[in-house]
Amino acid sequence: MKYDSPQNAEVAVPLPETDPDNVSGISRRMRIDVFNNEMYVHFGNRLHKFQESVFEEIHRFDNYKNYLGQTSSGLVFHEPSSAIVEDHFVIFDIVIGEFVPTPDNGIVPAPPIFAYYQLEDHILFSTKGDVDSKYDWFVLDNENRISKVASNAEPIQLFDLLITNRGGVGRTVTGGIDRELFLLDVADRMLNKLDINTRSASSFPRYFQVENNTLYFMAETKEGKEVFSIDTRGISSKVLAKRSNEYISKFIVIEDQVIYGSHGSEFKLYFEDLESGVRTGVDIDGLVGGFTRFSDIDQFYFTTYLSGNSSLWVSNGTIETTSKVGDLGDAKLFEGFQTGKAAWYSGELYFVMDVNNDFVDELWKVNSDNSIDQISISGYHYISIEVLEDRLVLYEHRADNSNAIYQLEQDDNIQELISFKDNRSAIAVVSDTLVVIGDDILETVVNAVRDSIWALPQGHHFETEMLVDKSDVIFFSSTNQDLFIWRFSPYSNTIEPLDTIQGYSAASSGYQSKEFVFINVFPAASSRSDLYQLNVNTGESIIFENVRLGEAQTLSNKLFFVNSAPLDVELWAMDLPLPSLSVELSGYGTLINEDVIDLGRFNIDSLQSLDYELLATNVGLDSLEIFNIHFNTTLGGLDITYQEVSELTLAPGETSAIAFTVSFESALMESIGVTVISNAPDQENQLYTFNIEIFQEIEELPLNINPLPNLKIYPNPADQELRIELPDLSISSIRMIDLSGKIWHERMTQSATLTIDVTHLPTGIYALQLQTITGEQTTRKVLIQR
Amino acid sequence: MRYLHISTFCLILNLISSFLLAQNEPYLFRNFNDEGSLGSDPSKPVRLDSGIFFLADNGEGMKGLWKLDESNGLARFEKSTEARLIERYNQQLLFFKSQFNANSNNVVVSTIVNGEFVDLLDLRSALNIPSVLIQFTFGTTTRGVVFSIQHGNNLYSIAITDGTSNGTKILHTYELGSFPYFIEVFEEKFFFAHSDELWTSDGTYENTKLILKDNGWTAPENRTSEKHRSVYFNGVYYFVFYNDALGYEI
Repeated sequence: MKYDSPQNAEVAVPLPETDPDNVSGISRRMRIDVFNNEMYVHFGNRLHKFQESVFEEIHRFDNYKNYLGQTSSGLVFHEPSSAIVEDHFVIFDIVIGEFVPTPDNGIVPAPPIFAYYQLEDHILFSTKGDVDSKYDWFVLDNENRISKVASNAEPIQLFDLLITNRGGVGRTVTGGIDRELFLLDVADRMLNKLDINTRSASSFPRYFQVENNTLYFMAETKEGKEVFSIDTRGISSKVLAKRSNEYISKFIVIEDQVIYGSHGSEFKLYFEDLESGVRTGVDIDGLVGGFTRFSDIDQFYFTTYLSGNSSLWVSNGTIETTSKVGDLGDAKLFEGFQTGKAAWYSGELYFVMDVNNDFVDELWKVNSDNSIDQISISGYHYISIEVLEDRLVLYEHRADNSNAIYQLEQDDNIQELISFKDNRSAIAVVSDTLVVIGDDILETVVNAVRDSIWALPQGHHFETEMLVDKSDVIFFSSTNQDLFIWRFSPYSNTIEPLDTIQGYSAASSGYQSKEFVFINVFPAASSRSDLYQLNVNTGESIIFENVRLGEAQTLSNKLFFVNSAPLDVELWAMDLPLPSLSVELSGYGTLINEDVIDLGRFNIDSLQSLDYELLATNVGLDSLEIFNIHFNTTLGGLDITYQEVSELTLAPGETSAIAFTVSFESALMESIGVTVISNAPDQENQLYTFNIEIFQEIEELPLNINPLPNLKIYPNPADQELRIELPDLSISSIRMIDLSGKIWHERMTQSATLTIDVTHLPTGIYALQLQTITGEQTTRKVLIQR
Repeated sequence: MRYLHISTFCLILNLISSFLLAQNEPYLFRNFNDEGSLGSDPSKPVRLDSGIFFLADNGEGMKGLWKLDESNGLARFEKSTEARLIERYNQQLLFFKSQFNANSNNVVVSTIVNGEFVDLLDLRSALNIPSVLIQFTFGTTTRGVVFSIQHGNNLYSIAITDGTSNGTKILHTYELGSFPYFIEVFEEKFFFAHSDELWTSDGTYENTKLILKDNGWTAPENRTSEKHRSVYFNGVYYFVFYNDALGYEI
């Protein structure tokens, strides 16, 4: 140590006594200051002056609050008075040793004081304003005047105060998010914020969920957390609005109701009808951490937490079926069960949780009678679980960076399938094959039989992200200079390179949908994050710079995703190229195909027809025989022409393309049915359905509101005439516009009822723009069809 | 394998022409929270004879040095820089810019000469340590700008720089904890405290000395509204420390 005289410090200059205001004898509110070349100490309810090496008490406050600072007139205190209900300021004049009231008697309109700051010869302080969470700001100047400098402003914490010739300037934090520079202009009695960055606050969209062909998610608005939806047309609506004194924690949409946790004065789980908004609620024991729902299971589970206690609940979608399963200790389930931490297996819920809060996960299960058991394994670290065909598989990452994969046997015994030591590891599940990356080797496990497939090229290491593209696994390797994308097909045990991204060193947080792979990639010598998009069928790739994909979901022909690369974390979208129709016929008993594939939205003013191809692949049979393929449509708006398939035989892994053309007429929404008759087990006469949505672009359609709910437009579609009725209000102008912008009909009027002759209008979609005499405007879509 | 035939793909592309290609770029779908602002994240303001300067980000490419016009209260963008900390020393602005790397972090100290940024030194070389993260600057003494850094695992230091390699040195290193609870910088010397230690320094290693330790007292948190935890009065430094039994005392 290089100190030589710790005794230089006197431990404490003796004060006359400790704070008598506190029964424990502990001194508080200590503040020392120098004023007029004298040193003063304020502690407890006493003011001391330091002279001749001792502190002399010069005043004892009857009812002190705070010593706020000083002006040239004296030391300033905030002193509540029994005679005056309102708090007030007083100046303690050092010269005369008395309190001097400010000229207005120091009355502050809205006590108590929230914050106060010394600004050379001024004191800046705030009190609660008239609006919730807002504050009025005042300045006490060197002539003892109190002036309001801001009304209903944000709460502000000031740092690094600096005096300007117009007052003070300080770096600030407001509301914990915005950091701005404020200027106190004493001359003009104004506290002004320098809005150097005036962009908006982030919406932080999250908790994506698709139900009823609609994307639901939560976002932050100026009101708080609210729930929104986007339909297949890309129209967004508010599903759950923030209610007064209620806060939404988490939500889930099941069929026709939105179910959500609410907290405020009480903890509730609400069931709200999406159409009517009518809701019923049941009392729960804390904030909802998250919902967990499994396919083909009627009930859903949700977790709650409050003050270190977590609980597991179950519900079938009604208040009567909502009940608590059990307590989960201090499991910190703030976000419910995370991905890979819960699975439905053999009619029971298995979940992984660190109940003891010791960074070691345990495996638990909820029995069919809703009792909770811990499965007797110990020493497991960071487990994730997944149902693989008819087995429950556990992936364990141990503290020493070793890894193991187990499967659950009968009677909840656990069998180890594979273990390896590597801190870069990843697993993926394709049908009944477990694909494992570890020790820079790609391995598979099928029926507990382990097989090493492939060793990485020299100088490569695996990235931990793996994406499953139907029957294949997409994975990544890096040389720290370049990034390599590979595809592994378990059925053929083949690995092929898909792409090389030069100058990129890492990949993470990917998303796969249809034939597209999206993944964040990072340039080797940059902190930038870019989005890489790969069409695994065509091999075409593209990189979008400065885009960082978070939560993502495809809907219709759009990819919706959270982009966190800009400072604003917002909902972004990307229109995807047309998908191809792909039918895979498997000999493994699994139909690897989506029941419904959205072919996208098409503007029939731009397109009259589209060519597709149906790709039929043999992914497991010794010989796939396709006897016939039929196409049909649900309505008459589409016409499909295709080549006849009399008989087609495909070898394992072979793909054949059957071309067909879709011609559009006037339909708005269609389904294409494809019937494939083959020798695939259990798949005779398999019907595949593809949705195709036809539209005409109307740019000015309102997003989510219907300003004239009583407006009637009929018939729609119209043939000869169109009637427009608006009860209780007169229409001032109306016009019909086609997609090219051509105005086909325009009329000024003062009538509540109109009839428009549309016999001269060509078949198609029109925008009907309407304005009332009170200035309200709306645009409605009208179809002319004959 | 499932490859879309190139001829068909091209046909589709031709049919839909540039419509879909143009739409393929990511775009902001909807901003649900267009109220409020993200904040400019300003540095502390620093006065020079020519005005008041600070670092801030307008979120649209103007990230760097701003100048405040005291006559009208308006801020004007001066120059781009990634520096996040600013201090004044010897009538010069000193900027501290962090450089992050997977294996080693560094801090570049720069100033403005003839209207242009000029790098003066980097702390990794000047302090001869493999990696450095700057935490805070605390003010300026006659010997330079006082600042705290983190380097290595759980190693923290108080250091000083006058903008030259010779005038840049670590004065005191301590383990664990974060930044010191308070640092009071006066013209000739400064004081700092962390955990149960109080130190003083005049900006030289030789005169950086421990004043107080191991007596049951700890440095109190220096909350913004309750500063004035210490004063330098008539040549004596008075400070407030905390004791569980007695609370705050001088």
